[in-house]
Amino acid sequence: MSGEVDLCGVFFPAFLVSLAAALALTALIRRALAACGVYRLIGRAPLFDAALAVIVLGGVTVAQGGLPWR
Amino acid sequence: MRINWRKTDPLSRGPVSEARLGAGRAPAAIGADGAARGKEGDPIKGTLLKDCIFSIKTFAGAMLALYLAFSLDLPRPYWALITAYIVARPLAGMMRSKAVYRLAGTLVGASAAVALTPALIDAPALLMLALALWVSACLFLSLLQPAPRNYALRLAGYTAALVGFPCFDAPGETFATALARVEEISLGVVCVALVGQLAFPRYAGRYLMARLDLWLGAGARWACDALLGREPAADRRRFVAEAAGLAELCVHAAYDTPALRAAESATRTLHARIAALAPTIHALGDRLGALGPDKGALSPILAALTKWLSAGPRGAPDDAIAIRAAIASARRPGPPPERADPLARLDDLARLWRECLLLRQAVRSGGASVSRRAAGDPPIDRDPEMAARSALALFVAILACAGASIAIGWQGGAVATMMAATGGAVFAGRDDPAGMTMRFSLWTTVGALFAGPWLVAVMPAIDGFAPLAASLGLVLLPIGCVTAKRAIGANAIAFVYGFGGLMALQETYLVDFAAWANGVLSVTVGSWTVALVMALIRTVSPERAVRRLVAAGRADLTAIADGRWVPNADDLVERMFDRIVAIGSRLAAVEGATGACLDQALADLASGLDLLRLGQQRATPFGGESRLAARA
Repeated sequence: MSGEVDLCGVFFPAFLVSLAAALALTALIRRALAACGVYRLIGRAPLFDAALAVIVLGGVTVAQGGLPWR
Repeated sequence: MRINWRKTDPLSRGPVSEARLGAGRAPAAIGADGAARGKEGDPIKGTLLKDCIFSIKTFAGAMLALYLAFSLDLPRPYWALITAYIVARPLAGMMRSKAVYRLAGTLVGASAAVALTPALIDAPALLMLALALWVSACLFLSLLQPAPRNYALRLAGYTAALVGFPCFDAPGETFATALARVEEISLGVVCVALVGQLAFPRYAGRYLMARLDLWLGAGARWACDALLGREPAADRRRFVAEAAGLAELCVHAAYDTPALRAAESATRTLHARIAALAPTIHALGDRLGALGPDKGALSPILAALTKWLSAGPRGAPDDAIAIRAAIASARRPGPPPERADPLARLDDLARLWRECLLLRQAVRSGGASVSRRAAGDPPIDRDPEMAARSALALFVAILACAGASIAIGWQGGAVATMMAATGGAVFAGRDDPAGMTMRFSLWTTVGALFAGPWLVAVMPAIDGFAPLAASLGLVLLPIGCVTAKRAIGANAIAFVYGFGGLMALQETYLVDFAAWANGVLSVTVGSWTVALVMALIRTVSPERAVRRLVAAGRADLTAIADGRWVPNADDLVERMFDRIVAIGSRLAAVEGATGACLDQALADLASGLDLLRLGQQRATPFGGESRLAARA
């Protein structure tokens, strides 16, 4: 999880990359859910979105081999 | 001491949303529809409770941002705090669009500064020129874009100035400044948007329905005036005023919730239909007025239509069928009716009103079934001349500030230049940018002065974040209640800007009178310069603005009559109605205005539609007589 990514000579924290990936993934999932009409069953869409983003970010972090509880 | 120069745009109002009427007007609803008026009508003007909740939410977001900024050791934590106050808006959709565009604009602007500066740092004059060009070009483009999106471009412009100009004094720090700005802006925006979306969000959708009903009610009332031969001026003005409030809300509602996004095309179609009521009612009033008091055979139809319209937005759409049948049977058999025939106008009105009522039901029920109008940008009325003048004024002001400070070697020159760039960019869209800039700088100074004793007396006694937050809350919570108000919101945000900027000193903890005086002086010099240049190049009186709008409408008519421009009827109505709304919003400021120019603009819209129909009916291009008609 720690470590940095070198992008054209600028060092970005790896977490930023996971974050970007997670946000893109969340956006895709939201599109898919909205297309299926799932949002009609959800009372608090922003809350749902925020929770979804956190879960996806957790998933991305774990997938990258980073275990926050390690 | 240094004044923080972070730009503040309390109410990003584009050319369209700029159109608002004075707060004193009472929304109209007719008859049984009176229930639609009230608190729900104006989302921005909420109740005291709503203001307090909004203030607490903003404060919570700002403190979250400040806490994170402190714990991440960011160089300028108070930028995040000020950003939170700039971005906070009472409606979720408003906030979301503003947050997204602010992030995007900051990123682009900071990148531009980072790209420009190293290449030109050895030639300060060239760098100055390049930055000034970038800022003015961005401003020019943003003034030609529709409302919430233009914010990104404006921000891209002056963020480059905020990052670029300090490097005249400290060439090595461009990247660090750019990074700090992007980080703190993102932090502030994300925190306040998160709190705003999650805790007690207020959606535009509810207000949108209430507003649509008020607008429909005003339209029905105006139509009744025309049918009964009453003086229509007051109701006509109210109809235009309601449209102004709604245009703004519609834009934000699109960012609000997925459900609303689905209904957007229905809302847009309804918007276009209600706008189309204006020329119809106007022309009908003309026709019926020409008939005189004795309406003869029309009387029963007029009575039925008046009764139906009096029910306002709650009328039954299907009542139209009987009325239109009556109109059809009243028509004499023979050649197709002319437009001048009042019966044809009555039929138009009945048809339009029925469509409005049906669309209203569709919007209420989710509206996914309606897709008459492809979603896309509404045709906005671009005014390249004014945009170019604003950009030129900003260019001159930046060059004047930066050039003078380089020439005399003044340390505060960078701050003055940045103040000029932000003030100019933020207020360039208004009719009176000079006055707005001056007012802003005045309130920034008040905030800075207020923070002085705070810094000397309160701050030394504080250790830890909780006491800091508590002490800031004493000032910021009351201020937060008014930041969303139309009339004084800009002042309140200017106050937070000055206050927060001065608080930023607390890190270095240098109470240095010379630096403080330099900071205040440079803010004043910067805003006075841009105000002066704007007053010389850009500011127009409301009278002149109205004349320009009427002239632009006439130019469109001429283009249609010449056959140079063949718009779609909906587009024409929307475009010309936007102008009418803009005229209506300025009438209050024009001395001795009687509403005659509003009347004239409506007549122009009606003739534009007639010209369009004429063009469709004739296969041949227009001859000289239709040009005459356009000028009449």
